[in-house]
Amino acid sequence: MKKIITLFSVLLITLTSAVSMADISVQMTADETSVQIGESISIDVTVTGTRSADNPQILNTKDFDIISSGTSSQFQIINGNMSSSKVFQYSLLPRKKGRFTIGPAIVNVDGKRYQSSTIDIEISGGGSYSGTIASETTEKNSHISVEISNAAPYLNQQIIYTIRFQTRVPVQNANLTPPDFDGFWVEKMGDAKTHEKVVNGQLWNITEIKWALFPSKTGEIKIPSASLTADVVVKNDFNERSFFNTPFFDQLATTKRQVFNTEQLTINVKPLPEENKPAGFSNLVGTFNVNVGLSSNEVKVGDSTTLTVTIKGNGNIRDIPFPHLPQSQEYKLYEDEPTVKINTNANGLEGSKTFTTAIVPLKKGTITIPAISISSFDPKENKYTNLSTSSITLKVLPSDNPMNGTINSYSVDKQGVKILGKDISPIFSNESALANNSISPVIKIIFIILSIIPVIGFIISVFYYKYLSKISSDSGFIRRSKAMKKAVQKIKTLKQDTEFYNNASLLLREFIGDKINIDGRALTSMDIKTKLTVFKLNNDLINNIIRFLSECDAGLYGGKILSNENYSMLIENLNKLINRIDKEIK
Amino acid sequence: MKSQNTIGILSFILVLFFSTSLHANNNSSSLTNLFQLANSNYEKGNYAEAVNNYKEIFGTNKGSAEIHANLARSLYRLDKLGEAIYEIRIASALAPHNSDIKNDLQFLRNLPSDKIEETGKFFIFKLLDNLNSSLSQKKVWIFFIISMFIFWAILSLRLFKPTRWFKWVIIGASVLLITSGYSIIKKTFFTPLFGVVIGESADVLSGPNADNIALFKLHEGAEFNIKATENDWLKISLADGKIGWINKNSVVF
Repeated sequence: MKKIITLFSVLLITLTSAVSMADISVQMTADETSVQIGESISIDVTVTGTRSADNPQILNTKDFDIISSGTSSQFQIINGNMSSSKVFQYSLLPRKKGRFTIGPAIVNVDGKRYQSSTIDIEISGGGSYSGTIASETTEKNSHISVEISNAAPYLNQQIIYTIRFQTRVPVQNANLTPPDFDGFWVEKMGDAKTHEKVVNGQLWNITEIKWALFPSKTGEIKIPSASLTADVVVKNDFNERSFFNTPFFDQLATTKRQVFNTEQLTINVKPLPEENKPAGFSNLVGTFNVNVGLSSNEVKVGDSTTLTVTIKGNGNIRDIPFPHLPQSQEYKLYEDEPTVKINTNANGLEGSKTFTTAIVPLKKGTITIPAISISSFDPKENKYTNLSTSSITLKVLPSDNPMNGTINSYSVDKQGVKILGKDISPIFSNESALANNSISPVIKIIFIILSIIPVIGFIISVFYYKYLSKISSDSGFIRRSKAMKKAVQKIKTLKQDTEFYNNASLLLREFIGDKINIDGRALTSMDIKTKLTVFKLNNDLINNIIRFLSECDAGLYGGKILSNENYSMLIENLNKLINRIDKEIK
Repeated sequence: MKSQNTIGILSFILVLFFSTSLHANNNSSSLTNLFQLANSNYEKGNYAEAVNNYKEIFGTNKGSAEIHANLARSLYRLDKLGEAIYEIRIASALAPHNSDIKNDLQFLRNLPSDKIEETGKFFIFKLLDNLNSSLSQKKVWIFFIISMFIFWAILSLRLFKPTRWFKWVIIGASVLLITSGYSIIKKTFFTPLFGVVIGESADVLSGPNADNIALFKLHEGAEFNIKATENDWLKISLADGKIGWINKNSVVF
């Protein structure tokens, strides 16, 4: 087994080296040497003797557009002779008429340069744009044409641009490159549509693609050519009636990459007439109609109803401006983004643009929503038309909330204040800035005194409270405290008469009674001595009291005459005694 | 003889009074002129002159919050952020309710590059400090006097007519008195000295000597409290609790 693998490997290497050592040549062929502008030429560059050639370089092709159509490799053993080749396929699209020599094709193989012979090609003038389908009796199997619905439209007037591709042979891998529609607002009218048509007994397959164009400027606008690249099935060599001329064998037919170019078109865009042009005309061109409606004709203050304005028609629908309602103190308006619906039909683009506005009434009553008016230019009638609705009446009922049927018309959506910058404040320039904010020592002292006053007040309150407590708890306290005052007043009333001794004795005894909280009027000298001894009075004072009372008794009962001198002496003694007693009995 | 003496004394008092008031009027007039000159210099963009003028006003009147604020604004215009913050803090302490000064304090405090976050305080002290900083010294005194009257009046009333609800009233009055007492004590006796870094940056060292280790770096406008001084050095504490020593030449205090 191992020997077989080794033998096979040696054989393969031998074969490969034999092939690689074969002569290398380059051959360039063209399918046609005489074509018209717009038709393509298929060029095959075949490199034989190798399969590892670099991409060839075809010289003298500056008057052609070159499109690569692919490569293929072949390896053949015929009658023991081995050969290999690589084919590079190109489509050449001529740019101008004339006779041209293209080539040679140069190929590099393993660093060595090989070249082909050249090919002479004649390019003649192509067919011109006719505005309709190109001649249906053409001998060609496939061709492309372009059509414009109106070559002299008004500004913003809709025109239809159609690219039509006709073929009576199968076509594969078609790829259309539409032109740049500079100077137009463009809306593609759906996908490509295909139908079949019999012309002169031939079945043609027709594919159309349409665009709606709206010129955005006046004057001459050029629409450059569009190009379609496709693989077109080349008619096979089988007889039409032969067994092989069947759909199955059609699939085996070879294809040719071809490029089809349309003609460049020139459009002359006319300006809209100035005559009778409405004020504020907003370049709406086409035929339109307008409808308006309210979601509810009866609403409460603060609630909303929606006004819907729909403008339908054929023309530059997307350009329809917002039909703004006038601002009012009676209501607030909240406009929504408009919605656009576009349909395509034979007339081009048709559709509608719907504008909704929420209306919030601010006052109860009746609100009249004014008529909405929009002007447009009708290119068919060649005149301006005014689209307007009738006014709508909205009944506004009082609100449920206690706002008396009115809400603040100045309420707005609040937003945070955006800080743009920061800086220090400006200086204080008023002379009041010189005022002193600190506390002077005098004010501080006043504050301290004011702080102490309540404490002093409390201390006084405490003393007063204690005084009141003592009064309430000690029944003799008031007698005792008032005894002195009472005695002094009574002394002043003592007169130098016969009652003096009695009154003086009574005064002293009552004073003593007040001081020790007993009835003093009945006190005898012995009682006084006994009672006062309890209060630890000085004996000398007690004796003086008894002596004074004895003197009074002697005067009262002994008939002693009260002389002036005696009167004065007794008054003085009485004062002294009272003062001493008051000091010793608190 | 006696009446002659009386007339002499009265004449002396009158002369003294008028000369004093005349002196005061002259002072007031010159102060106003100086103030207007300072403002004029500021408006013209002569900020350095304005600074000198405002500082001159402090020679006779150092207690005006608005003059301190004007000085702070002039310093800010001269790119002296540290000194501006120092002056606006003084202005704010004198007139905590002045909205312009409050805004400027906030504005200037946002400019320094150092972010110093205050360490968490017990919420009662935080509350009291906030109350304290929002009241001027005069208002703190008035608050304290009113609290004293309320507290002692309630105590006195309780002597004569005690009722059950007095207990709660006294507790309320006590809270009021403690709050106002804390404020007055802190405002009058324990207001911390503060300072602000004025240089581009300053190292804070571990001790009052240049040979000590640098603990951290402060930049212009960084504020601190002063704990102690020693020669050319200040012992400082930051709001976040960091402590160290900084050279006096790098700060205003």
